[in-house]
Amino acid sequence: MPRPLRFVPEHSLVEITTRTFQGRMLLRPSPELTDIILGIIGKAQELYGAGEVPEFSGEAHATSPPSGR
Amino acid sequence: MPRPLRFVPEHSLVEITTRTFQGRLLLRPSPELTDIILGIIGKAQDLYGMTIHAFVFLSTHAHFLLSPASAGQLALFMQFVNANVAKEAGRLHLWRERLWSRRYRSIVVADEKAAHARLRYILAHSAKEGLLASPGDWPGPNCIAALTTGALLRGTWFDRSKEFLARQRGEHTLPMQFATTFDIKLSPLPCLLDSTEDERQAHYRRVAGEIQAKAEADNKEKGRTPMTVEAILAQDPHSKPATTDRSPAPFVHASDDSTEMEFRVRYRAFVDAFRAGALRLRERAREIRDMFPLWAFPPHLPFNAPA
Repeated sequence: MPRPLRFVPEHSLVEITTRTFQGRMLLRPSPELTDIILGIIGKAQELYGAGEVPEFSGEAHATSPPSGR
Repeated sequence: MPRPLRFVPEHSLVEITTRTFQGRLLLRPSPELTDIILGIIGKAQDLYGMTIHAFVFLSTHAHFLLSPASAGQLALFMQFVNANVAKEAGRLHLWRERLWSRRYRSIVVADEKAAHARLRYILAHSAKEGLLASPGDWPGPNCIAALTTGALLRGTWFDRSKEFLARQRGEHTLPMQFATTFDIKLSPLPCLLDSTEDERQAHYRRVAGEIQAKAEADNKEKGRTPMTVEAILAQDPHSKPATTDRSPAPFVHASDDSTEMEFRVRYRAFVDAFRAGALRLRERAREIRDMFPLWAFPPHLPFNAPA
């Protein structure tokens, strides 16, 4: 089944989910990784316009699968 | 470093390499997988009319030697083969999501001497690595028997889409209900077209004999003992070799510097023309975007085939 077209009307609020390969715990937190991910988000926000992003929840669903691992 | 542009001049011979994710043994042969991969290649050849000279599927990678009509035909053929091999090998080996490391790599074989060398290289697989004593013993998909004896290359294609739809309708399905057999047609290398079938088979037998003799000498020198077919079949497909022997891919397979240089000049002209086209496209981007609704990503452009 094809993916639906990316239909994001102006001023939409969207929830993003991104998962690791085979659900592996590749994003297992550590102080270093947390710091680096925050830095990447900050850099991305700086690059692509903080004004257009009303709020960052900071929650990536890949880090908290349904099993709660 | 970006990937090079896919420059496949008309009537080119190309060598294809495609590797499994992290070099894992995800293509570890089994009678079922071998039959299915041969079926996929046969179906792809039937659909896209590809000229196939040789191929081999080891547990960690695959090679083809092909004469595509164009880069577009090559892309369609390889997309079909790689997508379906990934689905079927993943299903048999319980491996979800991606199976291939990255897009296949195609390298043009620019002259006759290089063509013979690349064919020999493909035929040598499994023996040159010391996996088996003779390359003809490899239980996975390969073309040695077909080239040396004229043996039939036949596999089974399973139409999983039709099977899925039948199940959706609540029909009871049987394993072979959506199976079709396909024969793979191998074509001689362009440089062997003038010889007869018997002469070509004799040539390939001689090459296979030389490969086996070299493998024996290498095994003796390195003190390694080839595995048995049973040991190959018993390997865990999720495992990966402790070390992988990989060298940078050459830009082109050419037997001398002048042939390579000539190809590089042609590639450079192709890149220049491509960049000029990309610039013109950017200049007209607004006009193209206006053909689509606001906030939409327009589709990518199709392959530029001759009218």
